[in-house]
Amino acid sequence: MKELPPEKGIRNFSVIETTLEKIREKIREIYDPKKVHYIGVDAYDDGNKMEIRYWFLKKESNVVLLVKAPFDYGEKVPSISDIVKPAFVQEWEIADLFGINIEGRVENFFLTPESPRAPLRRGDKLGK
Amino acid sequence: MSIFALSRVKSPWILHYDTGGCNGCDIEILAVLTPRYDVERFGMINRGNPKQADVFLVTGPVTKRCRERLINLYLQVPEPKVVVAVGSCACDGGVFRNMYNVENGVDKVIPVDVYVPGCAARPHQIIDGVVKALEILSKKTKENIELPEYIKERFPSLNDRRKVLEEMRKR
Amino acid sequence: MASESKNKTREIQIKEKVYTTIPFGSQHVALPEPIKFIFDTENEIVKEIKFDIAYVHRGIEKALTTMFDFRKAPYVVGRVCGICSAAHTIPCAVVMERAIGIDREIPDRAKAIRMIALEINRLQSHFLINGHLAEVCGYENVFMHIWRDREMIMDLADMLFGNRVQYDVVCVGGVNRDIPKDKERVLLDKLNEIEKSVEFMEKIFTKDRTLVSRLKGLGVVSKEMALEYGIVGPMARASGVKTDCRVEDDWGLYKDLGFEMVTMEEGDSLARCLVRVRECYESIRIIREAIKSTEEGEISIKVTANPKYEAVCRNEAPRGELFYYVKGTGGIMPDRVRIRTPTLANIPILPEVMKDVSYNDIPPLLMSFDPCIACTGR
Ligand code: SF4
Repeated sequence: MKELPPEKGIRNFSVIETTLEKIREKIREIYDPKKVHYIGVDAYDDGNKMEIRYWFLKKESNVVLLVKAPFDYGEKVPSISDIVKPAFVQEWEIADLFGINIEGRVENFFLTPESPRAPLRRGDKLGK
Repeated sequence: MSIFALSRVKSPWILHYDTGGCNGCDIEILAVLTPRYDVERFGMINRGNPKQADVFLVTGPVTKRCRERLINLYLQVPEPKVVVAVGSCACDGGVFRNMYNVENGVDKVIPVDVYVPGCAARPHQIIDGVVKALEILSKKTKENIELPEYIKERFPSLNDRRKVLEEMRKR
Repeated sequence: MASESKNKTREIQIKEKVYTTIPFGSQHVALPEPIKFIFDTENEIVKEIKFDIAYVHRGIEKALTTMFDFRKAPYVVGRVCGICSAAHTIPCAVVMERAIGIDREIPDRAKAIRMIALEINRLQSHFLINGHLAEVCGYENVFMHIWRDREMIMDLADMLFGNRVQYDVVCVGGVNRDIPKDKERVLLDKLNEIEKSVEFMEKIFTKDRTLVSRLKGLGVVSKEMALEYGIVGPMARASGVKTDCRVEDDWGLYKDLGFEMVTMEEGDSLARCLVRVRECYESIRIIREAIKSTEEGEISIKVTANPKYEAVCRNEAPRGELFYYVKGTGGIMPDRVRIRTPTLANIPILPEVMKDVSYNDIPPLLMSFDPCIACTGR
């Protein structure tokens, strides 16, 4: 993956990279319920750094759009559920699966107290 | 055979619980109740109430969150009862074996009498499994209850175990 | 004295509002799957809803990156949900092909067979949910009728793909088995019969007074609300939003065969139900066209490389848009697989719609949403 230039490694969607501070502004800029369809929230962990990702679809041009921002383990991540209303369910889900400290998260929404903590995380393990 | 035991075998009532499979087997269990397979000719009805059930059909590999609910339902079903594990993933985990949030099969949690393999198990197999379970049910009585492993773990002293047994017999 | 005061409090309670908390699930007759709702009601009117959707969380996303290689992935994701199994296997195979870079070389016959699998899957899912909806409305008779007709579709799947629920016919690089000529003929014959039973279903859901008056005006989702909450699938189409991934994504031949979207404006439970019924006609038409337009021939290509790109695929499952993302590393297992299922997009609007609805209307309302919990939990 690394040896490829970024445009070549990515097929059939486009990427906007921002930082954690600017991600809310950026999404407010892009998002308009009439023209942009919200698809989902995702996170990614490569072992050193984490990334939060928001997926959108531009309805007119039919292009899938990825807005992503990197951050360090343990950093507090802002929620966008006041801009994009349905985002909260998937935000809670990835907060559980990756152990991300997202604003307004609910403990054990997807996991159970007996299950392993943050199963999808690679580096910097939490607990059990 | 006492009259109670006879009526139990002639008209067993079913309780069904999905513990985290893919729905494939649950839909096949529903299909068993519909006109093509018509399991009512064996006197079986699907009842959502554990207190009235004789046959407990379990599907799915038992996720961590469903575990407590499964035990709870099992204890609520009155003795004597039979448990039928429907589907490969209920038998031993199937595709979901060793995933981080599953318990690898129903028999790790509650005792199972009949295993129905298949992914998804066909309606004919399910009917066959339930009919086999009825044979086992006709031999079971309230007296020869065997305590499952997890209850033995939870109540190490013999006195406590006796109390639990009495409780179960009363139901 | 004491009893008097007790009577007084009871009177006060009746005069004022009575608050009750009603749990619904995780084990319930109306539910084949474990989902739990807690309704706070006020004189039988639901005021607040809490939901628990994670009873079936198994960890499939992680297993796809640690336990199964990319060739097995389509079969594993078929087990995410048994009702929409083909709808899961297809985008997974497509997204792996895109990540390898061979998605342009897939033969047309393979694409046609994939479409047939998807449409048969959609037919049985729509039959299932409409029957179930009739049952929770108290119409057990219709439930039995619809499910009896559904067995015809299951037989078709059994004949074509060798299994009733998990078809497992799609693989990375094409499909596993072809449809020979004699089976094509049986398929076309059976489709006529299925069309008749769809007509029967449409007649019941448009003419029957009991069902119509029960479902009409129940749980209205306006177009603005639908757009704001980003809902997908038949639910969005019932509110007048034009969205269907079959035309928006290009893995199939839908554009070549011509595709008509079914939309309605009302946005209530009845409209959602009728959209599903009318989609059945479209599915039947697509199966016929797909069979006619392609010949028996090459059905798969050899896959020699491992996935190395990042790719996405959107597919229209029976319940709506299904989104797959894969990040390949050039190794045998992908680095990350993300599955966004349709119910996950439709859940956030549920509390909003269920508010101020009488409690006895909750089961039909919930069933008209068609939630699939096995998908949601993964
Ligand atoms: S055995 Fe297969 S079809 Fe049945 S619930 Fe398990 S995974 Fe689904």
